[in-house]
Order: sequence, then structure tokens, then C-alpha cells
Amino acid sequence: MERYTVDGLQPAMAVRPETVDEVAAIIRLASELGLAVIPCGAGLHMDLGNRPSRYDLALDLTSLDSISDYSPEDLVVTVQAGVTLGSLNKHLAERGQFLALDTPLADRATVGGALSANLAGPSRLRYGTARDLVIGMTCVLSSGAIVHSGGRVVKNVAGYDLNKLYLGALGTLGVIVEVSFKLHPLPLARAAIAATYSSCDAAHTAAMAIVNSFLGAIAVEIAGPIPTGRLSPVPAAADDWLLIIDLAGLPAAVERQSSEASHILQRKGAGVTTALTDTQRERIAASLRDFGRANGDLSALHLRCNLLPSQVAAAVERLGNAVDLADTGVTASPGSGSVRLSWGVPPGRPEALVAAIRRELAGMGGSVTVERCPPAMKDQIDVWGIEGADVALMRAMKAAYDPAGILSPGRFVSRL
Amino acid sequence: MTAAILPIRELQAIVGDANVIFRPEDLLVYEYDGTIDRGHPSVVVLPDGVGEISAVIRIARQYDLPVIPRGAGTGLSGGALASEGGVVIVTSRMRRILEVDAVNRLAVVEPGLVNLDLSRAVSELGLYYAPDPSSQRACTIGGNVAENSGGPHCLAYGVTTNHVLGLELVLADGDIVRVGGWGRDRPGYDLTGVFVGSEGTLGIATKICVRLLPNEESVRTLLAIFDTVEQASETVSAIIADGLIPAALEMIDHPTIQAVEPAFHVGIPLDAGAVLLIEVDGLHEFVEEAAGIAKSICLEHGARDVRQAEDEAERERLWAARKLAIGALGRLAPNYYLLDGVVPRSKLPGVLEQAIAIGARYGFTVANMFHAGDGNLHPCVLFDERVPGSTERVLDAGGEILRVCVDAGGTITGEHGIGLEKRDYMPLIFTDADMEAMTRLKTVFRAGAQFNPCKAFPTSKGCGEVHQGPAMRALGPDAYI
Repeated sequence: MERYTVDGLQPAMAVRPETVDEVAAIIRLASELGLAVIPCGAGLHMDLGNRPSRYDLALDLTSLDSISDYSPEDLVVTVQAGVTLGSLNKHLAERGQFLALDTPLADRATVGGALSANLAGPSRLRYGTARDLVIGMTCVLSSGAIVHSGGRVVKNVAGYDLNKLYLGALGTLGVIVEVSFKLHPLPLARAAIAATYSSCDAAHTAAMAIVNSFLGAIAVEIAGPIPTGRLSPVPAAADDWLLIIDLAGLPAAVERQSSEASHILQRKGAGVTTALTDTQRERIAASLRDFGRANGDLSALHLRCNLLPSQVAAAVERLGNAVDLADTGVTASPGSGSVRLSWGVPPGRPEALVAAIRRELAGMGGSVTVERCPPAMKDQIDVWGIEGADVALMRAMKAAYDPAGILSPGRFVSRL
Repeated sequence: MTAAILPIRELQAIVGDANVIFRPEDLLVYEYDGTIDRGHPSVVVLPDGVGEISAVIRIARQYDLPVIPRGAGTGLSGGALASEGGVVIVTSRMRRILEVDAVNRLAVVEPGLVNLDLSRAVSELGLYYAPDPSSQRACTIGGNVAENSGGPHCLAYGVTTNHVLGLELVLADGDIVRVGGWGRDRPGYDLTGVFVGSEGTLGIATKICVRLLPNEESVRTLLAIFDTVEQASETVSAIIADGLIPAALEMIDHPTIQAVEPAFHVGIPLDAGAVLLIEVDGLHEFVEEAAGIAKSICLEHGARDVRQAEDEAERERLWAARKLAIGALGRLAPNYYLLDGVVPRSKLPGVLEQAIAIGARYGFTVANMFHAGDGNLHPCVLFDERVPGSTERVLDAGGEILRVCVDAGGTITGEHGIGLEKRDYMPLIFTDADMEAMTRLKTVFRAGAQFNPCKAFPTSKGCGEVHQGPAMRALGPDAYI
């Protein structure tokens, strides 16, 4: 039962259904009895969200683990929510295809969990996020009704696009049981380049030049100050910032991308520029994607600042006013405007620190999400940190789809 | 059907006298869209600004009048038709580009902006707006948002919803709300995502924040000529199976060629069975190799000839032959009924064959043009509406073709929307529970029964039949409008 603990709350029971009908029956029963249900997959991101207001039943989806349909000619696959992304991609690789859903700890994450958490990784720059890959869903609503949205074809505007609602919803509107995705062919060639810069500003400027070019990079990430570059594959000074560019495509195109990217990086003042080996590339890509989540690197406090790409360097500077950045790590995705901070050991008075950070970034028009923190802190802050007229619509959404509040209650925005 | 009282004066006070249309002869133009259906607006207003739209909606609500948002009226499912009368709110005066942020690659635009005008406006910055419906010279971004429009280049780049980052909305009660992150990630439910494609039934978008993409370095456009549709379809499947996702992959068949070649003179032999238009874009190196791969696959599957556009002018001409093909159909018949089915790509050859056979059984030629790369077919059933009973037969033929698409694992609309014409086909693909879950959104957005009523979901009592508006009926069967 330890495995099902959420923010220190343990449910009275856990169930692990094997079919969609069983899931529906369980939720119907929970609804009749007024039990609060939290769905889970591999349980990798259960600490996302505010503290649950109630928690009676853990709904473990890991036994819904079949690939329902795979059509390589159509680049479409339909899988149950308990299938892990690792096993799915292994299966797809046999036909030279993959699901381009780049999410932390992807190998172990289940489809349902990955979509409910909706944490996007570096290669969103090229492939988009879950909303760009999901073409159909089957979910069980709080009444126990099994409902479908979308379909199994890549072009579809029939009906309202409810697929979008369940993404990142932490199971608060319905439990995902089956998903259809559009797939991509595996690229024939891969490459990656790492470059060092003496400041975040310089690294950011170089990164934006790559992002806004027609090179079509898969991912562009910056990290620093070294040694957050315990990621660093290249010789770097302490206080240096690292810029990593991930490339893929036909071999001739990748060669061109590599040489052009290197020139741009040099022109923008790189210290050392290195082409990475395949092993280095995979290791760094995983480190960046799993930042603060991998075993041995688990955050005690993990924040994500949601900003515009152009704001990244300025945000890091402001963060430096509230935080000694050498203590934490910082990674940033200039393509998406996301800046992440991770403390291995909780700082003193973490809730005051988060408040200070939110104040520092207040004028920048974005938000700071607390993705992991000491559970006690959840009584003092709201992890989502957003407000606006749209929140009222979100409350209406929750009221419409889960009027009794039995699905993951309390964890979402506005403590829905 | 229309309300007894129309608040003309109040509406004039909000938008100005010139922007309220209520005389029957003036309302005529707003009865139609791109379909064979007609509506009957009670009054049409052309507001400018979110405040005016909010005020108009509040007045309409006060008088219990239906509200129907309308962009350019090029829609292909009846979404902008006032099938139950009411106040049509036309966005054409709101067509500004409010902001362009080249560094963050986004723009904020008003709903009445014409799709192609956006790409043209940002091209000097090396940017463009990817969703490119065939009607892009006329259709509006607001209309694209309502229908989640696609277009040939959505094969590689995605449809409208993949390029909308945020919206300012006016809801059915007049409230104004901003949704989405507008270029930043935003926690919470994806309200932008559910609004896009909601066919104007949940509110009106008054500002749209869109993603822009950098222009690609290079583009190659190929025209491959085949003897049969089967060869062309198999080529499509082979290209995708080979792991090559072109930027666009379009097909037109023999009847369509008869219309398009005399109109656009691209050099397609009139006896060709089918033509594929293939476009690849990206770095020079990629484009060279990809075009070569595509050409080989075409030849392997029996292409008579594969030509490459030599310059931008030729490329434009080739694309005109596809994007303007619908208009060219007027050479073949006075009317067409355009379908929008989708099937898995691998099922294309069989479904096409069945569509043509169904048309033949009803006595109609079916001209096909479509986004072959993503399985989205547009069979055009050619007919003459002056022939008594032909409209009804055409609709029946269309229904059969849609059933074939659904049976093949597809869906009934890939990009045009359900609107009026396909609302009663929804049960082919969704259960009552599925549709009940969807219609809860109307409650969430406080949309009420009068906000673009009788669209997108099966007809309930109170929703009338459409086809042939009042003016047509008045003029009699020999008229042609």
C-alpha cells in the first residue's frame, strides 16, 4: 500500500482491474459509495498537484497492458493506459516507428500516467506535446460511463475535442483507459552538439538563434551553472553554461544541420564545441528529460517556470536574486520557455522561497509550478500558482464532469 | 420561425446603422455558405471589437434570439447558417493583425483576418502560418478555429488546433474570458483545445494567438501522372510506409482532371486516371533526397511521368490546380455535393472504388480530390439541383459513402465539421454516452440552447430541416443562384 501513498495520504484500499469494464464497474461503485478515487500507473509522478482533499481508493491501471491495435501502414497505434512507453516503443521499433512523446522516465511511465501528468520533454520542440500526438481516447467518467472522443485516424473534427481535456488533468475529469496515437518514423541518423558559454545570457542567445532557424533541431536545451553539468560531456569551467542541440533526420541533412549549428554556436561565442557520440547523446538527453527525477538525482524541491522562450535568460537572472543557482541545478528549454530548478536537499523555509521566486518572476506574465516538494509544504502553498477568469471555467468543467468530486479531489488547479 | 420582435434599433446603437442588415434583399447574401444548404437570418450585424460583440450577444439573449457567428461564409458544413433564424454576427470588420512576435514565433490576430493574408503579412520575417485550407484566399482565422480546419500541409505540420496558443472569447452570456497560455505553458484544463473545433457553438473568439513557423529552406513540388486511381493510392501508402512524411500529398482523379486541366493548363493529359501532387520541404539535402525517394516510389507503382516544378510560378500553378479544383467543377455540372470522409490511408484504394460505385448506382459522377496523405477524402458528387429529386438522392448517396468510411475504421468529417449537414450521422461514430459527455461542454461554457442552435449534434425537436432558402423557393425550380 506504500506504493499508493499520495502526499502522505494512504488509501484504505487499492484495486487493480484487468479490463475496461472492470474499471467502469469500480468507478460506478465508488460513485455510489462516495469514495474518492485516485488513478495511477507506474506511480512516477504522484506527487504532482496539491494535496488530495480525500483519498479512499487507489485505482491501479497497470494491468490494462495490451496494445489493442497497431497499424504500421497508417502510423497509428491504440494502446491501453497501463502499457509502458518503453514497452510500446520497443514494439514499434520493430517496424521502424516510435511514439514521439518525450516525457520524464519515459521507459517506465505508463501511457495513462504520462498523459495525465503531461510533463513534456526536450524534443517537444520538433514533435510537439501530447496534444499533438493523441488522436483518440477512451475514458471512464465519474458516473462509470465509458466514453470515446476522437478516433483512430489522424484527421478528425467530429464532435468536441474532449481528448484535450484529459491531458495534464491528473485524472480529475475521467480515468484514461485507452489511447490512440499518431506515430512517427524513426529517424535514420542522429547527432548532437554540446557547447559551453560563460553566461546564461550568451547560451540563451545562441540557443534562440538555433531555435528560430530553419535547421529543424529536435531539441535545444541549456543547463547550468556547471556542475549541473554533472551532465557535462565537455571540459567546462565552473559557472559555465552548457547548450545541447539534438538533431535527427536523413544522414545528409543531419550532417548539414550539425555543421551549420556548429558555425552558429561559434559565431555566438561558444567556448568549447563538441560533437557528441551516440552514447553521450543518449545519456545527456535522458539527463535533461529526467532532470530532478532520476534515481540518485531525485529533487526534494522541483520548480518549473512557465515563460516565453525570449524570457529565459532574464528569468534566470531574476531567479539568481532569490536563489544561489550553484546550489540547485537549472535547465531551460529555450524552444518552449520552460525553466526548471531542482534542489536535492530541501532549502530552509521552502514555502517562503517559492513565494519569493513567484514574486521575482511576477511581472513576466507566466507562472511557477511546484512539481515536487516536501509534503508538509502543500498545506501552505498552491502548487499551480495561476489565477484568472479561465479558472472559473475550469471549476465549471470539474463540476460538469465530476459533480460529486470523487476523482482525484483537491489536487488540481484551484484545488479542484 | 423568426422572432416577432427584432431589436434593430438597439443593435444599431451598438454597431452603427450601417452595420446592421435587416432588409430581405440584403440578407440574401448571408443565407448561404459553401454547402447546398441555406439559412434565413433575421438580422445580420458586423461589429468591430470585443465590446460590441459582447453587447450584441447580450441583446440577442435578452430577446431570446439565436446567435450565429460567421466569418467569410466559405464553410462546408452549414456552421455559419442561421437555420433557425436569429442574429448572425459577422467578423469581417475585425481583421487586424494585433501583434507579431518574431522571436517567440507567435502572432495575435482578429477572427476576421483571411488565412492567407496572415502568412503573407509575416513572410518578410521569414515566418508563415501553417494550416492552409484550400479556401485560404477567402476563409478567416476565426472560421478556421471554429472548424479546426486542415489543409494539404497539415499532413506534416498539424491542423489548426496544433497552432492555436490562446484565445479571447465572448461567451453566450456576453462574458469575456482569455484562455490558454498565449505562448507560455499554462497549468489547468486545455480550454483552448476544447474550444477549437467546437463549430461556433460555445462562444465567439475575438482574439486568436497563433503559432508561426520559420519558412523552410527549400521546397520541391512533384506532379506524378498515373493511369489508375489504384496505382496512385498504392503509391501514397508506399510513401508513408517508407517513413517519408511529405509536407503535402494530394490526389485528384480523372473526372476532376477534366475540370482542372482546361481551367489551369498544368499539362495533365486528359486521359490520365489520377494525379498525385507531392511536396517535400526542409533543408536542401533533405529535400533532394526525399524528392528522389518519392519519385522512385511513384515510378515503381506505374507512374507514366513524374515532373518537378522548376520555379515558384510553376509550383503556384500546380497548387492552384488542386486548391481551386472545387471551383473548376462548375465546368462539369452546376452543383456538387462535397464530402469529407476520412479513412486509414491503407484503406484508401478500396474506399475510393466503393465511393465511385455508389455514385454510379445513383446515377452520379463522383469527382475525387483529397488529402491522400492523411486519408481525408473529398468525393464531390456532381449533380444538377434543378432536376427534381436529385438533391435528396445526392444526400442519400453521400450518406452511403460516409457509412463506408466509418466501416473502414474512419470518421465522417476530417476538417469541414459536422455543422448542419452531418449532425444526424453522428450516431454512426459516437454513442449516446459519448455525445452526452461532449454536450456537457455547453453547460461549462454557459452556451445555452440559442447559441448557434441545431449544429454539430443530432437534431432534437425544434430543429428544422434545411436545404433551399426562402429566396430560392420564391424564385422557383428554374432559377439558378
